[in-house]
Amino acid sequence: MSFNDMLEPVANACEQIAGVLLGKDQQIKLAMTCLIARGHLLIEDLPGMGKTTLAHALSQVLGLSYQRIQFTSDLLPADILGVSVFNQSEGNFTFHPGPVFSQVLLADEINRSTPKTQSALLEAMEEGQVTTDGETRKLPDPFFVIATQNPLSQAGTFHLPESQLDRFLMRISLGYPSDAAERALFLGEDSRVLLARMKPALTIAQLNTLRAKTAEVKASEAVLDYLQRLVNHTRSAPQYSYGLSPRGALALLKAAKTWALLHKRKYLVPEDLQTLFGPVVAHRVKGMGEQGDNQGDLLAQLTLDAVDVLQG
Amino acid sequence: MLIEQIPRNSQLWLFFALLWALAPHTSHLPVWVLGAGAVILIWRWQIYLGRWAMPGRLIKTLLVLVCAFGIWRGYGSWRGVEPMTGLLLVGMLLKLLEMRHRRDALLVVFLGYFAAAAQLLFAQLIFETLYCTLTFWWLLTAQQLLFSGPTAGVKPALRRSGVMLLQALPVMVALFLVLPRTGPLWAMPMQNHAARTGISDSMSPGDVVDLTKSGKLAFRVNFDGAVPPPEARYWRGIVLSEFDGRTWRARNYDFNPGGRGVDRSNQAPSSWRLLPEAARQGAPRYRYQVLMEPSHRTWLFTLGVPLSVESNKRWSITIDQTVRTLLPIADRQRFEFYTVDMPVVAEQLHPFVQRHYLSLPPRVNPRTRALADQWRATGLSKQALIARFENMIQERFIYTLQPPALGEHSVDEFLFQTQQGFCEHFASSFVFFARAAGIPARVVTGYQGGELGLAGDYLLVHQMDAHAWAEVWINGEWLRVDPTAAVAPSRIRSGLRAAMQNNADLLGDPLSLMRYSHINWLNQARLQWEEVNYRWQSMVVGFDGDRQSAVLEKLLGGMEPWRIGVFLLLAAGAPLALLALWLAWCNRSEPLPPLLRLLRRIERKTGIERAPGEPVGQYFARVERLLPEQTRLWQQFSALFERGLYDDKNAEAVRLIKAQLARIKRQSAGGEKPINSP
Repeated sequence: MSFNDMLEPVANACEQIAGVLLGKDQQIKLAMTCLIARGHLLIEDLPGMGKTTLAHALSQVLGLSYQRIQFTSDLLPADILGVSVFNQSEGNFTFHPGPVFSQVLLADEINRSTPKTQSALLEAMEEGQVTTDGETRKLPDPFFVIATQNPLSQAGTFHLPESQLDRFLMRISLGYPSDAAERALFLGEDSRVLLARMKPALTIAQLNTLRAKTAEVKASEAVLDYLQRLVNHTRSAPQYSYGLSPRGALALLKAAKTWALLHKRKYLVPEDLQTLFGPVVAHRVKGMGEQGDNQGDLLAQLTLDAVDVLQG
Repeated sequence: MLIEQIPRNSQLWLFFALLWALAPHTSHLPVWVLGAGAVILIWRWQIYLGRWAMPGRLIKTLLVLVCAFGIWRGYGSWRGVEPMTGLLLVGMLLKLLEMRHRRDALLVVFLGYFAAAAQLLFAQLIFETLYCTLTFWWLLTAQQLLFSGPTAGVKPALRRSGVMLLQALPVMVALFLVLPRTGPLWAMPMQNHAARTGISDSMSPGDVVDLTKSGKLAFRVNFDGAVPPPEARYWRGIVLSEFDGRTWRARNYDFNPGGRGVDRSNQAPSSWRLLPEAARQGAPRYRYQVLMEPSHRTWLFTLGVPLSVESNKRWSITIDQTVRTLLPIADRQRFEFYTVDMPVVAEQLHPFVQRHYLSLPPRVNPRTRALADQWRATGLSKQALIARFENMIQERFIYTLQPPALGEHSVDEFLFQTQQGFCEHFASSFVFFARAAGIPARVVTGYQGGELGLAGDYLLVHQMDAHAWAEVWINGEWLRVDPTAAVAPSRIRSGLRAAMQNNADLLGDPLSLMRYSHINWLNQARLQWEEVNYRWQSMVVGFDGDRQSAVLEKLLGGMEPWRIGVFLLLAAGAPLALLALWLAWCNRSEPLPPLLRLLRRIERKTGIERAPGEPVGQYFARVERLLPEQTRLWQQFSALFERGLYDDKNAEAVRLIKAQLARIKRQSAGGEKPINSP
């Protein structure tokens, strides 16, 4: 199968989503990359920026089952994972699966719930399985979580700890639309109608083929050197309070390979790493000082500017 | 103040290093100190295991007292090298019980260095030197571990300290060459009762047998010329002429009542010739150098009568024509002898002296006296009497290293009952007999034989070669008579080992390599080792002031301080310079890969520099914006660089880019300007 044949459905899917989420081509591609790279996506933005629309549209074009959980401060783990209820007629406990048993899960405003509930979901993300009442149940494949979160300055939120942030392959934000895109939004149809009209463009088999192909993307010595220089910079530059973990570095490599594949390249170039550096790395590192928590994007840009692409 | 704890792993290593440093001293430490040391070490070990607490003031005071008493008791004095070394070691051990913090441990380590160096005060053979070097290595490692974390491994510390020692090597060699040889500084008084080895100035039954159990080297002889045959190898040492019925003693040399003899000494270390005109024509002469092992005695041993002696020690020649040093030989000493193998000439003996050589203790050995009187009455000449005595013992007597014990009339019992004995018995009884028969006679002790060295031009004389024989005064000469030769000729011809082949157990110490000299390869190895030790001795330990000046004259062309200063600077600086060069070589910038060189060229030509974080594609996109006339070229370059760098098409890309650049050059030579600076 040629590249074009393989990537045609992906392009189609992106196009369809772009028809709903106007002017956010880059974010759509990143979300698609994240999905193919078996990662989970964290979208950090203000309410009403199209987070839900993106998640919904993704599940639609992929023909996947879709569930949404609205996280609140009184949400309990069982509300996500499911509960065993006593069945009087059969005289035993029957498991009622929670919303986590779906292929695309939108965890809306994940930082509104308590850490206990957050961690219930995050465990499922990491292991791909759920254990309740001593029984382990496999989650469907693909299992793709899109979590959204309000900016941390808002009241009544529980900050996700670093270890749990690390579970998300990427963190992106959508941002306000451009003038043209917003005008088009005003003129266009209701997004719900549009969503309902979307056609599945990518089968699971095709998705798996793409995933297999990702591994074949070549990373030359030069590009791996660059990756290491980037990683070392996050670990040694004085602006960082701590740098990128090996898991983070691997995630960056994997995401960049997928990105290269989506751009019809069989080899990795530094631009791939640069594009994905922000989304993959920014939420995994911390700067120095009081404001260190929110400096990820700034630090990422600093590293990209400081590290030479070609030589150490 | 910040007080650092001692890392636990370093403690273990420190114990090991200290024990290692202590081990060679155990042979001379008094038993009291050894006992206290064992208590201290056990206590410290228990502290290390966390079982016992640090000892209180009382116990510490007690230990100090025990150690002080031990040193005073063991050495009998505070003066000298041994008590001072003992004090140092005791201090080191006691400090272990106060070792709480790193600075205490450092003190112990530093004392350990002194302990290791003090070992060399007692012996400087190659083995001791290597051992001492190892001690330094272990201590340096312990010192490093003190400053490493509690989880630091020993191996890296060992490697680091090994490297440090190697780095110090050139400096050590340079210092060895230039450091002034200050004799008096090292000439510290050794304890007088330091274990003396070798032949002494008295001979009681059993003395020589004890010596034969030792495989230790007595001295080594290098000959200028041929090595004398075994039966001529009589190393004359001490003349014993006073007999009390049991023990033979040397005469008091202060008394010199007439008689012809020489008693002169060199007042300054120099050579001095003696009686060359008196040497008998035709008698074999030997010129040789003796390397005397420390014996802590003053006797030297010569082949016959000395004609000249050279040494930088003070020596004297006795009227018996033996050579003595003024001070006991406490370290390895070199002597050069020129001797002639002839009897000591004493044409006239003063009647008083004759009486001395005929005197016998009253009332002992009546049977021997009777026998002598009886033989003498037959009118035999002196020579004939001697021959008859030799015949008698040759027929019936047995040469053995395990003679039966003798009672009051030792000579009688030996001659008429046991008839089994060793050289001292034969010599002693013969001299007794000769005196009883009216022949002035005396016992001479020394060594007989010697083992031929590997190269065949030197002899190794061991303690087991110790021997006793007799000299009789006949016709104005002291003739050598060796009754042992009559009984056991093989002892004289091939040495004690050959004579005692059948009961080798007698040759003492099973650990001594001498004991296994019949195993050829082992014997070769032993001789080889002796040879190495000799070289070490003559080249390193024997590197005294004279040889130092000679070497420095040759090496530096002079001995002025500035020359030595420059030499030291060079010796210490050269390794550092080499190290710096090596480091510079290691850190030299690698040559740029070809593609990056080409990119540099393009950067120079366009005058547009790439920002560090700018990938090649973006760079060319920027160039394209700034220099839009050549859009196609930039896009080509962009693609080529990308594929060359990231798609394993390196060689191909280099070739194509070079071709492109060459083409541009040709065009620009033709007048066109394909690349314009913005």
